[in-house]
Amino acid sequence: MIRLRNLERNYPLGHGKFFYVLRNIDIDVAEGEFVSVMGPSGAGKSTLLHILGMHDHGWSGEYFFNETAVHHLKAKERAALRNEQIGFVFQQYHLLDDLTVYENLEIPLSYRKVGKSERSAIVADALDRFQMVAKKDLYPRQLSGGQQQLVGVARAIIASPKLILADEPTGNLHSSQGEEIMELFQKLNAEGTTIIQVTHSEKNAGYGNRIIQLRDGWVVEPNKK
Amino acid sequence: MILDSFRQDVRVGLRVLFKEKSFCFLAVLVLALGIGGATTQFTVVNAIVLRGFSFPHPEQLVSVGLIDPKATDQNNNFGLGQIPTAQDYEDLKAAQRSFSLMAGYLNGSTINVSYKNNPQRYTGGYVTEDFFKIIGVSPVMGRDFTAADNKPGAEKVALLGDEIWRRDFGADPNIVGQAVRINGKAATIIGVMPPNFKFPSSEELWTPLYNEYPPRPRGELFIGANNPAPAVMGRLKPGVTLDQVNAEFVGLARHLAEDNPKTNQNFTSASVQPLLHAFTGVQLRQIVWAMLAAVILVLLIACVNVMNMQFGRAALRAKELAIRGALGATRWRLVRQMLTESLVVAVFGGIAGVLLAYWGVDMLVRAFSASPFPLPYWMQFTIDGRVLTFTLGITLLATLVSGLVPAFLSARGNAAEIMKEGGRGNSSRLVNVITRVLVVGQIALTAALLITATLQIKSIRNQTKLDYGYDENAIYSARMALMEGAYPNEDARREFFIRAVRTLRANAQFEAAAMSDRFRMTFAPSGQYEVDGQNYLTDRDRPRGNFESVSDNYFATLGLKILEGRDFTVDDADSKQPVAIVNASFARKYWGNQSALGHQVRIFNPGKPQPWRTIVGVVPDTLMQGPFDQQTEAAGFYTPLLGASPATQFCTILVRPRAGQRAETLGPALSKAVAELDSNLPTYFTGTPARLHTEILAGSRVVASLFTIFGAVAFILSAVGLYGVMSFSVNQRTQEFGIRMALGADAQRIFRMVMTQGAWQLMIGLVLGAGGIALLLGVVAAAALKVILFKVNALDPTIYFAVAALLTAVAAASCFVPARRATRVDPMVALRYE
Repeated sequence: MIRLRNLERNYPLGHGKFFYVLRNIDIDVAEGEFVSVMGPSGAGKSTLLHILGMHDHGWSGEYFFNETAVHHLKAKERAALRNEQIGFVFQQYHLLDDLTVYENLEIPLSYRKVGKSERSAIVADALDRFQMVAKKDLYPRQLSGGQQQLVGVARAIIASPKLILADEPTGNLHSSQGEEIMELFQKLNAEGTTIIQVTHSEKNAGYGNRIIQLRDGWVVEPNKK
Repeated sequence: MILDSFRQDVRVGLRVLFKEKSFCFLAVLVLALGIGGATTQFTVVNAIVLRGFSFPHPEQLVSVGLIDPKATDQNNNFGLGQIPTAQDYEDLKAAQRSFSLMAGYLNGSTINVSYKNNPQRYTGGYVTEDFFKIIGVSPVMGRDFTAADNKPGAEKVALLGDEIWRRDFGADPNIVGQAVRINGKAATIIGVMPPNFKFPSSEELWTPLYNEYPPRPRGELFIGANNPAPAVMGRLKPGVTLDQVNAEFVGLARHLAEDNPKTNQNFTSASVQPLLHAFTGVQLRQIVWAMLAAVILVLLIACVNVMNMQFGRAALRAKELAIRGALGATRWRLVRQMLTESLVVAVFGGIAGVLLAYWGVDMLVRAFSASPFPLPYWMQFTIDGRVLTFTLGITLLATLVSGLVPAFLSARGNAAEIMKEGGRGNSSRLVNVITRVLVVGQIALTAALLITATLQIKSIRNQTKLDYGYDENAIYSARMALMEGAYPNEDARREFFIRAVRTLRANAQFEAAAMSDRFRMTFAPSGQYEVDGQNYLTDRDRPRGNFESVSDNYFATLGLKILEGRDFTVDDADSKQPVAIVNASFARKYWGNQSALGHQVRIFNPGKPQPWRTIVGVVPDTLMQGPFDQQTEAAGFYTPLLGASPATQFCTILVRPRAGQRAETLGPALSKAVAELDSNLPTYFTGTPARLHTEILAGSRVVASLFTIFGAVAFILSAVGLYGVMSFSVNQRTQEFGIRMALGADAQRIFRMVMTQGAWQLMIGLVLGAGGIALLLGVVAAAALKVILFKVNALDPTIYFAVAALLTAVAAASCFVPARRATRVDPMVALRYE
């Protein structure tokens, strides 16, 4: 599903020098995998995730997504591909404060121009599936951290993405809430969704099939089981 | 302890503000504009309305007038009333018990003085003997008037003002007792008044009233513009209230009406008001208060701007405040710290504002000094203790308005959360709501102010663009006054007028010459009249209109052709066959397409019925009522000046230049020609009618300029504020836009979101501002506006739409840049923001 070849990301330091965040990255992720990216702070994990999510465009190298050469796509085409294929889960949940749970779930669908009645059906289905029907009219601040992240996950999958990218999805949660989210990921993965998560937790990484270890921008171990 | 921590807060505040130079500069500038404008305008309010007279017990000084309860405000001198005849004053004075002293006076009058063969016209006062005693001011040299001086036929005496004593009488220490000629009669200077004294408005010398204008029997004179009945003032006995004296004078008015039905039947009520009101008419007071309200609005807009900047700063400083809180600062302590910073900014703004106000006041003084109608001498535009107290007050108000809410909201942020979030700041929902409401408020205030300013400017533009019906630059005019000393009777005056027009027409410099009683070629007399064949049930049914006394050849001198019938001739005399010429509107109004010739018209004077005048001609319309009175219609008529009975005392001479000569160059030739007719007769109010009209509107132009400045400042502040708030809002929502983009929103959608938010705020602001001002101007203040606005509909949709369009353009421009920035939010950066 994903093939990265010789991917590099750097920031200019001035005087013709560069600081490399990612160097010479070669990674393959097959469809249906549940991959955890690990490494110390500053290793380039989040940068890698944003490149995979097509938010970051300042990289070089090759990036194939389902055989589509992302490195040849224009920004608009990347956005279209991202909207169609990828869902995101963030450590800070990033729910929109002024929208209710229902509206937060609805928003990715409205950006994908899904009709109103269809949107209602999909959101109702998601609320049911995540057992949040009773909370659909609450605002994010009225929910616990675990509940907010549950909405975050629900929002990530609501447009049926093929790939979920999760950046420290349990970083702000109690361990029991974290387990709940990880079990949910496992379930989604079992249903066919490819998942790539960035995590510091060995335990969370254990929910996946394999671990990619990064250090100082280099892949030091691509296939740790 | 508190002082110590305040000192510490000020020190920290200064340091912080010094660090944030651009915020500090902008905030001080914005507040300086607001405070400077408010201080300048309050200086005007203070001078005109608040400070009043500096005489002993000014609260006891009142004016007295009789009122026709059923007549319009205008007929009742805007609530002040009037005294129909000098006899009414005498009767009231004899019967009343509330006053310790009463006086009658004519102010702003012409007094011709010849000293050492140099004729000069002065603005003077004709006053009764107790005039100066009432206000407690005595001559610094010589003596005050006595009852004997005021008697008709007594030797003429005069008191000089200090300024003319120095300027025109060489500050002669032996001036008392010196002989002069006043209004053509031998007179003696009996004293000099104190320096800077020009009471009641801008008088330069004073002479007894009855000695010049002996009281005449009731009904002998017109009620109206040429009526030399005095204005009346009095000093209340200690303890007498305004209510009590009003009650007494209403009773006295009723008695006078019953005893003198011919002249007084309508004047069944009275009005006793503070004397100040007699010189600061209701219209003037309304205008200065309205202007103060306008600048307070500007100040509020400025405060809103600073408040928004404070919100922006508070967001950036949230972490610092959180740390302070974590270190033990109470919320009140944090609020105090923030408020102290606001105070420091406001104080700097206040100081700069006062400097601006000194400049503004200086400009105003210059502008008013250039006006032909100077302000009363006691209206001094100076920044005194009261003004500075006001400035201090509004500076504190600006501190609270601009700083309290941001301070309070910043201090209530959740310290733990803010620190945990890594210094992103507390993007409180409440702050967002408040800033949005502020934008709405700012748009509403600006819309209201711009609409008011535009209405005012349009009104003054209407005044300056009036079509007088002839070429105002093509003739030259001058005023002269034939006073009783030199011209003791009507025959003498009539003989002079006939001789004058004949001589002027023979002068090689002039192609044509004529005379009119129109003041400054602007204001013609007005009043009620009657037309033959019309039935009038009551006195009030008679229509009001303008009538002007003119010599023969007047219309030709103006460059107008007689439309029907004939011009006046020197033989048209009221004593033989009273005639009139009507204008086209008048003829059309009463006789439609039929000829007006042969019909009759007369001026309505209930005390002394006037003769019916046969209409002998019809002329084109000219504007007769000048640039202030919009109530009367265009219909008007003319009467012969040379054969008028009684013959007028004051008249305007008009001369037309020969081909190739410019009218404005005729001044010296006209002065010389008049001097050859009478070497003791000064001419004044000289110039082309166009120049005289411009002079008359000098005050209006000052008001228009001020409103333009207020409008422009408010507009700029609003634009800056709107941009600031939208910018702040976009900054606050950076993360939200990032999330939305990460979730699939494209740039267009984000752009639309920001613009839509601005559009909503604009719409609500416009509805509130325009709706509010429409309600205020169209309903609450509708009556007052009819007087203030000249031929302008307070609800003129073009003005409302133009202001809405202007603000929409500004709002669109203000939102455009932040909206564009929002579309460039990098989701990756935005999401890492935390």
